[in-house]
Amino acid sequence: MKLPVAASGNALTLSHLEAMVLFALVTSIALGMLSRRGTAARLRYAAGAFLAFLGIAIAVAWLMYLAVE
Amino acid sequence: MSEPVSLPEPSAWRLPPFLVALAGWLVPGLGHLLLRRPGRACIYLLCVGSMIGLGLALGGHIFRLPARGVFEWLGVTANAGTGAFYFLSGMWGGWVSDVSRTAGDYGTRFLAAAGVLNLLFVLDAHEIASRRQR
Repeated sequence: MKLPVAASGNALTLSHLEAMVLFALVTSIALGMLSRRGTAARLRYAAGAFLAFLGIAIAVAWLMYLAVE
Repeated sequence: MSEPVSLPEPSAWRLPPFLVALAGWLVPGLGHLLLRRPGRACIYLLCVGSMIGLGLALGGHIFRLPARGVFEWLGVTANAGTGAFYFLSGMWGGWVSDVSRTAGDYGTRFLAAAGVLNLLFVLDAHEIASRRQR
């Protein structure tokens, strides 16, 4: 059985931001489920982790951009 | 007034923690399903499955044995964390990763993260099973 995705050149292409958002979303949900008990606490933790992922990444990106400039 | 008494769980569900961990490693979420936590099992399966799907769709690289150097060993360990998927992907054979594109590099990270997340889920399932056995 062959997975034709990458071999045929039809591989999905995401920008760095899109990939980061998807990664942050899935990881935040997983960490929220693992580290908290109760739906509300899990949702709060996942939302906080997601925003922290994005905020820190965007802040570091800006720092690198300004350092190069 | 009598205190509420918690009923013991059926002994059939007191599976050895090792077996629960093994099941959870082979199929993401199966360990929690065996512990009768279907909601968590579904979410864990979705998390690992979506990471693997994205990694494959992006053309990510799957590290295989024999590994050369520390970085490849880390890659093999992370990828092997996905359990059955890792062994099935080896049998497909036709999979060609494409890390010449940036997206392919992202895909490699997604596949590694899927394995690491599944290993965390396995530890969680093992802990729950151990607690029940005590």
